Amino acid sequence: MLINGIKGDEWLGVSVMAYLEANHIPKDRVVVEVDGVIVPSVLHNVTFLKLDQRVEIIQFVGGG
Amino acid sequence: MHTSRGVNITWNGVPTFTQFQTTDSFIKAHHSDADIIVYNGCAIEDSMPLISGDNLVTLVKKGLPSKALLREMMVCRHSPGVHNALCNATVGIAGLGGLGSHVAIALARMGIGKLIIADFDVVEPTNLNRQAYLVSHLGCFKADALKRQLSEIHPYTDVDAHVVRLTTENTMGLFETCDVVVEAFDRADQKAMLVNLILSEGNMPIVAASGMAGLYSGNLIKSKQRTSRLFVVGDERHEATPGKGLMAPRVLIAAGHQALVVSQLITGQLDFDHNNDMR
Repeated sequence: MLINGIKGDEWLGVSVMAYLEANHIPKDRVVVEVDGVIVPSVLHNVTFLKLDQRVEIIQFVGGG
Repeated sequence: MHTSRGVNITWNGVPTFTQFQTTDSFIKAHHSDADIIVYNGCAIEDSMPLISGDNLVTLVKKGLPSKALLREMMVCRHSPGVHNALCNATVGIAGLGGLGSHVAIALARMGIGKLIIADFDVVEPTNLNRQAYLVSHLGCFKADALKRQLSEIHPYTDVDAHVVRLTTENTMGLFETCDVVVEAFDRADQKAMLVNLILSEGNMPIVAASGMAGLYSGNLIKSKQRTSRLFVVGDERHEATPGKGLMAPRVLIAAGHQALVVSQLITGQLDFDHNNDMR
């Protein structure tokens, strides 16, 4: 499994919600894509990270 | 051997056969009061030899050129392929603050075909430190003020201005015809909302921005392709905080990156790949 291009097998089986909490990423400021599909925030707690997945987690900071 | 002395050039957008051998002699005969000479896309002061295939534009400084002539100047500067792609494109801009106002202006200067711009807010004094508004715009809706300004920059860009707060309900309807959408909001949760929406319900790319506050090095601000349709500009770190607010230089750098990625997407000239290596 790759998280933002880096090997992240220690997170296998962990939910997206648990991953975000462990990494102090606010759920309302993030975009999560697993294998090219957006995971909406209502599904963060029922989406579990699996082997061979490509996960992109984009956290936004304010300003514009 | 006798050779024909005439050449076929394009002059102010019109195919023209001429016996004149230089730009100076041609202009003296055809447009003696011209004070701007653009020869093959480049402004010149000295006379140049005229060769078949040359493109010559002659203008007076005061006065707006016709749509056809302005188009010819843009074709000449950008190349026909790039210009045609840009002038047939529609770009949506969500949020018209420091990022959105400057992205819109850069794209209008490029001769983009249509801009769909949206913001609910009015121009107020604290905006003037970084947003592309003037004292005369204070109190006006940003969408209206920017539309007026764009008409003074490239009057032939079609600008569809909306005074509206973008939500999950109204955004897709507004931007469904766009080739690219630009995320130019201020708040991080709004940024995430828009990107999630475009990536799950739309099919166009989105160019977002994250991290441009303070006076840190401008070299930290980068353009990256994060997923197949998501491009993120910024240092992805520096949020506006007390004492390290949003200021014109880095906001304009980020807006420049966004406008550039949009232009690259529209013209198919993206020069970095999914792993963000330069091609």
